[in-house]
Amino acid sequence: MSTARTGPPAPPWWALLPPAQAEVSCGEQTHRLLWAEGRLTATDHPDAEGELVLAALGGDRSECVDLVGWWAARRDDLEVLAVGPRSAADELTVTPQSVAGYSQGGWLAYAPLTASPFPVHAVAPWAQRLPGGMAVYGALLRAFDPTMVMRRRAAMRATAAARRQLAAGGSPYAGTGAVSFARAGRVSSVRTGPMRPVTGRLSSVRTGPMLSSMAGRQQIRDEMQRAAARRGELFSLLALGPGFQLRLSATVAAAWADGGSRAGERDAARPALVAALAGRLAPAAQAWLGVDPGRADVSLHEGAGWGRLAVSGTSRERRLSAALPAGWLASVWAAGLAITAGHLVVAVTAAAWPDATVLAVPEPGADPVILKVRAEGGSWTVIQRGAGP
Amino acid sequence: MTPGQDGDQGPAEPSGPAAPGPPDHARAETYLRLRVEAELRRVQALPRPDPGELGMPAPLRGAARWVLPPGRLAAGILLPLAGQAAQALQPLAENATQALQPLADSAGRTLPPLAGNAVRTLQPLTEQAARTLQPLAGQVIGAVLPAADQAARRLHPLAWQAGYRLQTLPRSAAYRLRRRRGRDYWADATLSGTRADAVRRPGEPAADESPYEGVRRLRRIAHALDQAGAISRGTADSIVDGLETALAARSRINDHSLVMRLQAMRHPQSARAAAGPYVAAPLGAAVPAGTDSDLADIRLLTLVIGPSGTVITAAGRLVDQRDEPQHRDPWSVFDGPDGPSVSDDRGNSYEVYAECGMSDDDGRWSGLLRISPAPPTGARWLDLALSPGSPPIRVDIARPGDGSEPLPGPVLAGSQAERMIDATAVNLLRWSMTGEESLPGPDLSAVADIVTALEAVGALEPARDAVGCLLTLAGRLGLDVPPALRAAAPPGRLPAAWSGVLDNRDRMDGPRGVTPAAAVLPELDGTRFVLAGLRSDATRAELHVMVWGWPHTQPSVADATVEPWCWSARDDQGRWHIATQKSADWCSDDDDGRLQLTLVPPLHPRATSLEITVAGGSGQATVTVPLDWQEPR
Repeated sequence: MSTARTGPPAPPWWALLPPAQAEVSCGEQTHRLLWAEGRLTATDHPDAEGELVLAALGGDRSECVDLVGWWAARRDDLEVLAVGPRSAADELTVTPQSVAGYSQGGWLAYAPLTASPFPVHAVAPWAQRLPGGMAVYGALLRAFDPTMVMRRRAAMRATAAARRQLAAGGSPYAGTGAVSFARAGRVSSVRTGPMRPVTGRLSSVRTGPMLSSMAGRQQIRDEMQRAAARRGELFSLLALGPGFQLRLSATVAAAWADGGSRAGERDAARPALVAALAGRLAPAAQAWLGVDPGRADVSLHEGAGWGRLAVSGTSRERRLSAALPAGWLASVWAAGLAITAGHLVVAVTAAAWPDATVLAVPEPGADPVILKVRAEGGSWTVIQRGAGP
Repeated sequence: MTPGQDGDQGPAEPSGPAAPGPPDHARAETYLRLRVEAELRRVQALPRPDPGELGMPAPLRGAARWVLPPGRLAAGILLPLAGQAAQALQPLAENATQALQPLADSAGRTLPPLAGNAVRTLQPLTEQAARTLQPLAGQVIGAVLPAADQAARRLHPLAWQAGYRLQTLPRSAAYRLRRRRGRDYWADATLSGTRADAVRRPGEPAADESPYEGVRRLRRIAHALDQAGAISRGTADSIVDGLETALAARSRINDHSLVMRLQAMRHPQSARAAAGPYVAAPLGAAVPAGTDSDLADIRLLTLVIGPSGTVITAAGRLVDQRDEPQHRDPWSVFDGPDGPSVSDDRGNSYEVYAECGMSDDDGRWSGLLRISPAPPTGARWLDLALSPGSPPIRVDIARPGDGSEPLPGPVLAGSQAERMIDATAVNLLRWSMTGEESLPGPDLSAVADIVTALEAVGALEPARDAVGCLLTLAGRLGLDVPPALRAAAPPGRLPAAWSGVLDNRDRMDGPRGVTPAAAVLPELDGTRFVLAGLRSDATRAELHVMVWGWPHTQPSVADATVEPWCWSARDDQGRWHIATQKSADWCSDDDDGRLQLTLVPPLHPRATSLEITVAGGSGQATVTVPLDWQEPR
């Protein structure tokens, strides 16, 4: 086990993540997004911020600017770490086409929102296209779900009765004082006609259930749309490709690491960060030591030093215990440095792409050594081995 | 490093019991998140069924050959039209689902318990699938070519799902067949459980568990942690939602699952039940069903007034139990000018209409009438005339006990965690008596999962005795117990109620009839229950309950939810009964719902009253109802 290390300040978390770019469809054009030094920019939209403001005011939106905005909105979102890749071998299959299908293509259409007051599903979207149309659909319902039909019919009868009473001059209980009309919500919202405000002598009718039900339904609809939109945004970002997935994950980890914008709130996010570390260290530990990924106990290292590593047990019972800082995800793991030349890299001490100086542990229990590494051909190569720090 | 040091909130797999004490939310959240990580790794190691790849079942490869190439071609050419075509293709996707379902069912029926001759058995399945899917594929290509890409995308996840199902069919088919053998299964289950447990670590899922099953398992654990007070429901759900999203991003589940989860949001958790009043007035009036009805011997049981309206529960039986019901309107007696009428002491009149009805395979029918509008505050009685000129039945709705007087509050009961374990035992008891397929049966792996999770986060202690009782019950039923469950507690003494149920489980001496069983229960956890009818026969009884503020669950996630209530009953002859939910019905925009509970063993033939208890998180409430039996018999 090893712990403390002091020295010069670490390089920025993005120092070993070279610039990356992606081509995206933007209206009728193909545009480029560029990620560099921890920021995503839309190179074909020099005034992206201005466009964002205009879009917020109801102006035209562009896909590029949307993506940049979504990226910024997700820069500290821990859901990114829950969904994003755990290792280079962990392939996400999200593509721009699949995102389009998810957000527009029909699954939402397949689950249409309905304000139906009945305890039934909405009319199936294919009902209108059946041979015989709604008549056949109705017959199917009667055959397979007579309860539903009965209930619908009964409610419509009640509606008609209520309307008759309303048309006849108001409350059926004129002069009886406070009247409870608890079924007002159901009756009034039956889709046989437009909903009317309650007026005149019906002012005592209790419309609370109806209104609260409608408001609640609208709220749920809004929540659904927001949730679907948020997921679509995340998938759109992930669809930019593996390089961007790693960079987005690193961005989020950096936000919660020392010096990050959310570092002060890390306690509340500790479970999510521990899981994010565990999910990414476990495959690395397997590659490094052959330890079963389920036997990697990970915790979040706080304070000075790079953290701790220890191994217990032997053979299949071997267990790795590790404490690493959240910043490890941003500066080491995202850069693909986790296992380099048979070492577990635990910190980056100096970086000037494509060269870096790292602290690496050759085996659990050993002190870390300094390695100078270089990115060559998509992997890291040791160019100089040094002594311990 | 020792767990708990240096900010560690818990190990990926607990190596031993956590220290007793109040649940630590951070520990529970960390535990659940680490389980999610483990699940993601497990799924990543599964073969990915892909219709376009070798290794896929032949029928699905055949379908893929038909659908995918033109689909991909069309996608390149006609992508702008694809979105529009999505709706048009929905029936086809549903066709595919329907086509695959009988395929899976058929395989489930035909596969023998042992999969030794699986190849030979799968052959007809293969041919059937090919016959089923190829015309569909042809239809896709020929009739709706412009939308073939959409079809491909729709069929793709369906095929994957089918692939997962087919891969696990040998196991599930054998399992179903064994379950049907009822008690004979137990010896077999013990052997197979022992074999499985020999290679599985505590909390480790079966190797062939699909990603969908894995998500359900994790959601069940998440909800159990919530119920035990170790984690908030919102956090628990968001963690499992994150797993679903991660799996969808890797095409391990289809994104339809995400939409179904969004759908679940449409059904908000019910608000606390309104203060009242709540009234339960016994009726017990017979109604002639009419010649054009499926029903005979309709009897109105109880009038219930609640904040969302007034209803009358009814019971009856199908005329001819040998035939399938014709679904003629059973309520014809209430249609037209000869239908019932209701008036009150103030001269107000009300409309009565049929709300819903349902029947079971044994010809028992139950239904609900609704009275509109609700009687005004202060009304003392209602007169219910079943037909013009018939003498009205006066229903007293202002008598003591109508909800205007405070009911005794619930008494303290066991912890939520204890109740969860008890609910498992109750289901086990019921399964041992009925062999119902809808019950978990002798598979204790789910509760073992929950116990493992509770132990890991330090929330098991209040339920340890309940685990001991469950172990004793499992032993008495001859069931195999997963090691994780066995290690959690020493066997305990079986509660008298459970012993009584076991002692009487073979009885078939219950009285036949219905009775209003009208009673209002005090509020429990923001929920109000009103008992509104009881039907008894030789083998069981059914209790009808109206509910307000019910924390119902969307069906798509219901199978992962831990039941919030535990019901039991004891008649005045000392016979204990367990009560489990037979059906639940609620209106999406109403506050009220309706439960049907099944009570087993049957009531004592000489019982004259029944004491019914429901236990929830904040305590338990008990009420006693008289048993005045009436037809239908």
